[in-house]
Amino acid sequence: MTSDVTKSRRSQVDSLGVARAVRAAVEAVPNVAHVSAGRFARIGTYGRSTVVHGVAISQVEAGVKVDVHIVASSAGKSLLELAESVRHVTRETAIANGVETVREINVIIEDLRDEE
Amino acid sequence: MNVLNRVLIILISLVALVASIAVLLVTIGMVDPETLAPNNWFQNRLAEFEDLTGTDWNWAIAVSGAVILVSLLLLTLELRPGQREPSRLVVKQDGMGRVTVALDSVRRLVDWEAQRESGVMESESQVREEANGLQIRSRVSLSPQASAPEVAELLQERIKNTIEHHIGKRVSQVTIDTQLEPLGGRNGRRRVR
Repeated sequence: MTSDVTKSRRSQVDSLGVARAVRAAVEAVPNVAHVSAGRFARIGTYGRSTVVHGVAISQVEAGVKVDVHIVASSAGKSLLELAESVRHVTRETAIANGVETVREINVIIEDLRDEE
Repeated sequence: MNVLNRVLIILISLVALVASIAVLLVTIGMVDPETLAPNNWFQNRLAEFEDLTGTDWNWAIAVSGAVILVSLLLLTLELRPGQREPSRLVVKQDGMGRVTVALDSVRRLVDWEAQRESGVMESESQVREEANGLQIRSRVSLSPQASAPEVAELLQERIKNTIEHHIGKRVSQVTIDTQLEPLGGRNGRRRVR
């Protein structure tokens, strides 16, 4: 029982940590204008007193699902290539931050920003 | 605001609304507490408003009226249909997950591309996903020196290539409506499919 609670708390803290790391890594990807909390719902990973907007980490069967919401800049590579880069960076960062299995990464391009 | 918060606000507003209406009706003497209240506890609470006079009566009317208005306002705000989620286009789905793009963003991309074409002053586009691919319709305003058929043809090719490159989905149709007037006007339009 105690170990379950500890495990659950640790998992919560890890989710926030992973979300923060993923957010920072994705924002460093060229042509990502910024990570977005969504235009309507406030998407993010929620902790007790904090939230990491734009990156939603949830536990799924035998792994973790990551939703990343971004605003892309219009210049440069195609949106598909950009999404691939975001998926790659997200996966690498999640694994580097202790996620054992990344089951699913969904990239949602919320908007485009003209940065020419 | 999440669903739980919304449900809580709706419940609290409903309770406040019912209580203030009851207080108002009892205060102005329209209804007896016995008629309204389901049990003795509620009857005793409402009975306190039955014989109010002077300033107390005024306060009870003003406060219950204000609570009714605020509750109705909150209920209206919480129960009105929410803003719709933006329509999204699934551009890739594989074992790793999904990549989606807001249709508005694709529309914006079309407009940017159209406006990069020489002779195009303004553009306003619509993008629809059909079974055979994306259908794009652009209204463009041209400069007087531009040749509408030539610009329209170039635009069709440019928009199709750009969107297919960016989104990786087939563009089945690009329709261009050209006009010389700014896009607010509707005269002198020509269409190229």
